Amino acid sequence: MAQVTLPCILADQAGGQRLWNVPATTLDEAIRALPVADLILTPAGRANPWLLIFINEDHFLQTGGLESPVADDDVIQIASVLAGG
Amino acid sequence: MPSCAMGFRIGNAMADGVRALVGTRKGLFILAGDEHRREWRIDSLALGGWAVYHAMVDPRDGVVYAAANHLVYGPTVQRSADDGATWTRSTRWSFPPDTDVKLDAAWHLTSGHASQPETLWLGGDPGLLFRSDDSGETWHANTGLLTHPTRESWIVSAGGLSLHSIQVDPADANRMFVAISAAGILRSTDAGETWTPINDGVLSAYPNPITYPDVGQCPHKLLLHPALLGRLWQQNHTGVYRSEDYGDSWTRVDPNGVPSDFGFPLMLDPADPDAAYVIPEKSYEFHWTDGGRLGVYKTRDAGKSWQLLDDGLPSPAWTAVLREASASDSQSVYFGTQSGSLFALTEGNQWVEAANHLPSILSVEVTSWPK
Repeated sequence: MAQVTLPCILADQAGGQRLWNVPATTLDEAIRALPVADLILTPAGRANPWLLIFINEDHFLQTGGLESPVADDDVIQIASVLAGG
Repeated sequence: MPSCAMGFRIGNAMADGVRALVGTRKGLFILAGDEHRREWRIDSLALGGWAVYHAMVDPRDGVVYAAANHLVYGPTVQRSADDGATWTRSTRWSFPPDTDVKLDAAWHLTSGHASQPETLWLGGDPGLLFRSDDSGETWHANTGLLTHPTRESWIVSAGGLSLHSIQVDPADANRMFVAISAAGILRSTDAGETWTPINDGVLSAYPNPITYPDVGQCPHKLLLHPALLGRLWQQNHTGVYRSEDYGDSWTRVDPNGVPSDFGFPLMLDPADPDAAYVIPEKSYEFHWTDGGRLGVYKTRDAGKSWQLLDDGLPSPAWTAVLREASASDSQSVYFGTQSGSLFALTEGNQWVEAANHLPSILSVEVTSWPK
């Protein structure tokens, strides 16, 4: 299981749950296992450009994009690009 | 990890009073007011972080719906069957094939006709109308407007190409009206299959070789009086207009005492078809109260004359009231400002500040507490 951490507003849309353990072999599978996948992905299936997505400490665009491999115990962090000033 | 707590709820509802849904740039505040509209409290905050362009209670089943938008997460429709405690988001959107249009902002929600208990309508940017026949689970884009032959002439305005007013005739489920900035007002008599522009007598908002074109007007708010058949009111970019014939023709009424043709809010009295309220502001270049004078102008004679109601309002007040940020019921009228104050009109034509220091108010609706 990979662990996904959601920012607050996404967590609220996911029923209040911020940490999710999801079965996945790719980042795309991990996102689509979430009840807020429609807010993380565009209708065309691309990553929402307003979100930062990290697999462990790497930005997902540096690891293969949405097809990045995900292993058990990997930590996926999602954050809004508006997190700072 | 920091807490995600964003909302709150307080105690029991008032037994005999009014509930106000106040959509702000940072969430939906639900207020309770007493039967005289003098005492208010904030009962809950929901949808924290979302810009709630409009929220309403469906009078048919008490379900709360919100048109909630977010810079990161985009436009959504949210539904709550427990007075705003928990929400679900619409996720099924249907567009005609061979179109690449998408919803850029969710603007306005309206219940369908009483004979269609699961039907809802949603207006949005760019000039889109959606219909749901399953209480908001699925939304279908209206083809008649999407492919309207005048669409190329529609002009994007400050709020986008927003379809912000939807009025369904309570006397005829097939007759409905939409207002689009800046396309004008369009009417359907076949439940949205086809649409006819009805802007005769309404000045265009922008320089145009034709002063009264078929389309291109900029209505800011449209309301159909629920009791007097055929009577429509609109606050337009170019004045306040009234129609007696379902929009076939319009009569301009603001020169009879309203100090500015420009404004956004419009409120009606469901018991008095001749009554209307507007809040004028300085022109489209400024979008605030002219000279810091916040005031509501009321007519009781269908626009032949207007009376200023400002007792209890702050002065000076350099603020403005957005198009969705006003409401009315059988007891009062209400409006919220961009500076975060909600006002209610009480006995003796005195305004009471029901709340202040809220985030910028985008929308106001009121409903009675369920018995």
